[in-house]
Amino acid sequence: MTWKTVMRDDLLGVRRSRLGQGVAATVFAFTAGVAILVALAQFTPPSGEAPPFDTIMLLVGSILSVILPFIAMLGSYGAIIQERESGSIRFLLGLPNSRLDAYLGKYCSRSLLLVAATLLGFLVVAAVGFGVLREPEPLAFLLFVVATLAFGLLFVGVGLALSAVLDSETQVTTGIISTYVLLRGGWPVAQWGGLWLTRPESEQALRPYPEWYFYLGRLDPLNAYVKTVNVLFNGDQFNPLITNPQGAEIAYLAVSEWYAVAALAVWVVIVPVVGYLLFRDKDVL
Amino acid sequence: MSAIEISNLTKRFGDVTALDDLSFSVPEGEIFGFLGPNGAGKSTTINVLLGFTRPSGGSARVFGYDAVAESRSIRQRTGALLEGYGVYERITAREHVERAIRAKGADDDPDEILDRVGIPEAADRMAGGFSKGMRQRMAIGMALVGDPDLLVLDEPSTGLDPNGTRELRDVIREENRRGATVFFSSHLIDQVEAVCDRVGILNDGEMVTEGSVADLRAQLDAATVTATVERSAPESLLDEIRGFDGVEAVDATDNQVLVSARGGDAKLRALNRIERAGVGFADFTTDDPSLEEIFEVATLGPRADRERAAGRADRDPAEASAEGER
Repeated sequence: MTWKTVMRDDLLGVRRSRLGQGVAATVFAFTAGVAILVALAQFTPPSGEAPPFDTIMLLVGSILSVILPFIAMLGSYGAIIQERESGSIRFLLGLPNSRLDAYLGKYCSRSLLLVAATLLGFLVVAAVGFGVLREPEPLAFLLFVVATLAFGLLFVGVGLALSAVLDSETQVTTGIISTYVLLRGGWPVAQWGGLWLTRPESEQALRPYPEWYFYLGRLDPLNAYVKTVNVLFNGDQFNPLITNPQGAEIAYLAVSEWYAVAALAVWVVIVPVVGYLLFRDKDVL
Repeated sequence: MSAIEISNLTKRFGDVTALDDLSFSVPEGEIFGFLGPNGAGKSTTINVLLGFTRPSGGSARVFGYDAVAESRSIRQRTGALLEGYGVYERITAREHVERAIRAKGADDDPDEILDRVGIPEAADRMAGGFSKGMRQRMAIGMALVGDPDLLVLDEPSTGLDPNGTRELRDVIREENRRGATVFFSSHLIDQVEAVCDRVGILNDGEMVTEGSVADLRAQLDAATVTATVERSAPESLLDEIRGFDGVEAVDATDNQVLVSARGGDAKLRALNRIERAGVGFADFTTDDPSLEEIFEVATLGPRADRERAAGRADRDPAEASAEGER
């Protein structure tokens, strides 16, 4: 059970490092900051009616869908590779910590950093949301917080897995940038590429899209998160960040919120587990 | 039971064979010197022992535990000072030692340990600002946590000044008296010679010779040992040493005595005499070629034989390659 000591030790270093402080500050800024701006706008004359709760939460969620992956990966990408590059891994794994202890301890530490910063930010969001905005919805807000934490942990897992599996800090940095580019740009390209390959030229953009198009698209964690937030605060209406189903497409399981939740859950679990399995038998020196 | 049991251990990195069918054992309670030039495979052997690296073939066991399957149990009973470690820059010396204490579930007092390795004043300073010697002392302290049954020391004198090196020798002897087996890797013969019961020489991933330090000394050709002293040695002392069996020449400067001797015993007797002479004996070094000489003997056979075999031919290609960078 030394993963707890690894976690504790790692947290101490993270708290004292500029990167750790920066990650926490950035997460806080993009959650609490938005809420504070909204509140300020409200109390600065001339002010009319307060904006609706849903609109602002949708805004916060959309911003987080763009920046949280990057911040979360930044917070965890160095966890193991930096110890390998600095040589302190000779302490980490020279002491009686198993690979699992080291990996799990690091995962918990980096997750705690992100969760604490996110919750702190959401505390301010809640204060503004429930104190200032119109028609607040406690249950939707609670689900929003849970989904956001899962979304953040997913990318803590990606950063850590890359950190444990790759062999230099440059590779890991390239890895997190590639992951982001792949999920944000590569994924839609794959979907369109699929249409291009499977349909005649004149019908490529024809609706309805085939079912696989959504099964693939909504598997992208960025899309899954946007879908979740969109259901919570936009009544699942049109959202410019994802492909919106039309007509017969609405009946696909892939466009349901359950598919989105399942996609998030699968990513949250699978990425760190695969990372660990590759790290377990790896030559680290 | 052997503290360390290495059987047919092979490690390949791509096309490079770092360890080639290596077998040796270290009995419990011994101070074993693991010698070899840079790149011989010493650190790779240690990395396999401690689970950082998986063997390509063969096995390594420590106190009967398999290095792959039971690595954690090995590290629970081992204190390790590994070459190429880096400190946690924003963590203090005390916090470093506390990490080791927590990870091992030990009950040591971190301040006592820092005191023992001579850096009590650095306890609350961030290790990022430490000199090389302070880092090394702190790392030695971490290795001592939990009274380990095995101490694995990879090039432990790196970064230490002569005082630090002497204190390290004292610590090694104390730990050995307590019952710890010490596995001491170095490329410096004098460090190994001073404390080790038995020595193994690794070259190109193979153990080329193994034996007691006395055996090793017997293989030494004449070499110079330099003793650092605080006061200049009187001529009478130098004369006395010149009379020792095997001593070929003795010279002195204001703070050094240089003894050229054939065989390690003669050098050791000379050093003991200088130490007792009351000239403020501080430390000693043997000249670097001594390791090379042992290697020549261990890997290529005695020089005289080779000269005979080579006849009037230029250089033996094997000898030329032995002198190359490894």
